[in-house]
Amino acid sequence: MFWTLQTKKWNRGVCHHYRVMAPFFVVLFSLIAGRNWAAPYTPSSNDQVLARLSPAEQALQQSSPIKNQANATAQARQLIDEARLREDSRFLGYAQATLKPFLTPTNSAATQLLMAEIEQYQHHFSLARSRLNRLLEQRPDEGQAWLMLANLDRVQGHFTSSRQACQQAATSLPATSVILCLSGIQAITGNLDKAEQTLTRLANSDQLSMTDDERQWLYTLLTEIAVQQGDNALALTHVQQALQIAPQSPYLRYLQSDIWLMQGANAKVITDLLDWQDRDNALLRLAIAAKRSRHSEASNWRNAYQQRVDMAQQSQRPIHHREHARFLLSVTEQADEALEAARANWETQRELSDLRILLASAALSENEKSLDDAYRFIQRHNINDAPSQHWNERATR
Amino acid sequence: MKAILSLILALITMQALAHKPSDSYLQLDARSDSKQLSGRWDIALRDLNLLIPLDENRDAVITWGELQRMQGSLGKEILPALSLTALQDDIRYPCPLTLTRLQAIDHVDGTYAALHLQGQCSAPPQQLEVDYQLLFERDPDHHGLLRLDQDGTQLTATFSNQQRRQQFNAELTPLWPAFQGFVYQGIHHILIGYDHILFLLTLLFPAVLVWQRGGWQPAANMGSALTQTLAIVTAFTLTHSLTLGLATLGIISLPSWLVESAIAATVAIGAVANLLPRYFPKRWVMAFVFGLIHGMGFASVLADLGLTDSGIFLPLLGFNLGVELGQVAIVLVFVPLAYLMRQTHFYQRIFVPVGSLSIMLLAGVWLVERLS
Repeated sequence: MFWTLQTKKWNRGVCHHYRVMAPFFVVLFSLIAGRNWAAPYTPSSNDQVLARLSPAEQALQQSSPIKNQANATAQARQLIDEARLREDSRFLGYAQATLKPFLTPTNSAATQLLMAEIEQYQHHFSLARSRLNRLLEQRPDEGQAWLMLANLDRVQGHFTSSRQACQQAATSLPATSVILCLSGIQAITGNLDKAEQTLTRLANSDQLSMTDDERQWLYTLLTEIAVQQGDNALALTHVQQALQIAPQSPYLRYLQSDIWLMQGANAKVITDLLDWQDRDNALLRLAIAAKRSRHSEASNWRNAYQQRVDMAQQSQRPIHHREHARFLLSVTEQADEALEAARANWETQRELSDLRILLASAALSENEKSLDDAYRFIQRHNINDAPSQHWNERATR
Repeated sequence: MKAILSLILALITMQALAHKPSDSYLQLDARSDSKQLSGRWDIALRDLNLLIPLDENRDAVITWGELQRMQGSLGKEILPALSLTALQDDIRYPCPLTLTRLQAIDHVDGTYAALHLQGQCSAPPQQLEVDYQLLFERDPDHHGLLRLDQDGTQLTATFSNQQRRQQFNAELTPLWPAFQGFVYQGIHHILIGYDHILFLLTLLFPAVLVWQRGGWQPAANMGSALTQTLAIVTAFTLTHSLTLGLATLGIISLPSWLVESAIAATVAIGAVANLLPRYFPKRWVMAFVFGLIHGMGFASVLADLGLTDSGIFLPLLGFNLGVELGQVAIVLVFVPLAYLMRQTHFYQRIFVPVGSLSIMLLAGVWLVERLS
């Protein structure tokens, strides 16, 4: 009875306002529902699948404590490879824990090298560097340690010491590795053409035997050289040669996507990386390609990447400044913020991709000081790089 | 030699690894006048599986049934990784935890087990010590992210392999001055926020008038003018408080350019309504609906003031109260004047239409500026 009376009144008086307000409430509630609002729930059935385990994760579950160092290093090696292939840093932690009981000042070089590799992936460059230096003081003929040190030096822009470290490796390593190590430095210190000639000769040579990993390294270098020369078509050929050896290598897949992005082939990037949306690096490239091609998922990928950055900040872990700078520059178009991230990145990493993002964000935010820093670096090392040249010209116009 | 081969790949790849690392999320609620604690601990199933084998039948999936069957082990083997201790006058009182309920929860990187916790301290915690030992032996890069609600104030902290134990103090900044600060900020914001003032004023212009026979007539008495004013102000307050709260709690979020543009649009529409009153008979409806948008604008100011040091509820309450006080001040200045002038030709034929037109143009300019 009460309800009927109320309803009549409702019909006469409030209904009009209700109609006016209804769409606003619909919008409001869809905003609430659309947000990733985590609330715990009780699954409706015992059979509901909550998580799927990869073979590597299943193996972890069954693993028993490791008793000797050889088994520990073998397992750590597998875990690091898993971390790299799946881009999953949890496996670096597992590898670290596996090695920990065997980390003594007198332990084997293998343990120290693996630890340095983990630290390098975690971007703890100074920890990795001092570990390698300690190891080389005891064992100056440890060629692999020299190679890793050369790599760290190259990444941080210390090209002279990087070259020296490559040469030190020559006493204990096969010639191919040393040639690759040295050519990598040559290419970014004014001898681009010479490096290309050496590497092309190596690629066509039957005399030097090469492992698949060395061949992959070789074609990666040739790809990067072609990008430096501004020959994106050749770069694609080389990266595809490398991908034939390692089709699932994340680094090569992203390198290929970056070339496509430079060519404006956004659709190819999206098709290739669509299955990798759970990886930040893929998400970044998807967001860039989607924005440029006005793809319907553009805002979803942008938000997803932003959420990853927020989560990293929340857990007080270091932000990956290079990728963040690229996101700020190419996706959210915040040149000043991008420059801030690019400068923070420049403090620790000085590869060509770090130089390019610094130049691009400095040019777009018209920051003379950062442009100067980048030019000085280019001049000091006599760097030839077509993508950097592009920003250089744009800034001076 | 095998190590070399894979090491070469390390030389190629300097890229950052790109999956979210392992984090657990711990929410604790404590009061310095109560021995009871409660909370929830979200742990990734992938992580739990390292400590307790969850995939019973080894079919590479973890089902809800398998997780539930491990509830006993979770209580016995996982809870001891978290020890809470109440500290009172430097005496330590342990707070043993029990697992009261198990659920699932989805985070950005997959499904987690949600462990609902209850703790019983032997004394109320003046200070609370949290000792976090989960998973570090298996993954030294694991982090535990704590959100502690202590006497209505929120604190956040991160536990890592290097920092496994932390103490939290209930005696924070005195509440009253902090509260006053937020009230003041609320008043300040509405008084300097021209868009909010103009919106309120445009709605109040005709509160002392009645639209009859195609023209404005003065309201017959104080009662009718007061009823209209009260309806508008109440409706506006209700909805802007709602969205201010929702946005501050993070339940809704819109980009600020959109909110700011929408606020400009509401001012323009309010002014149009005064120029075309026959199409907008109920002002309070407009105040009610557009209040939702203004609330989100208030929330962005409140967010800028920073909440992390002082929790959420106290600033929210203070700021909202300040906004209402500011609003009452505007009403008290404007409405009596308007009431006195309501019968004049100037008020009805010049002030209301010309004022509304100017506000409409001004808001139009804001709208274009904020959209571009």
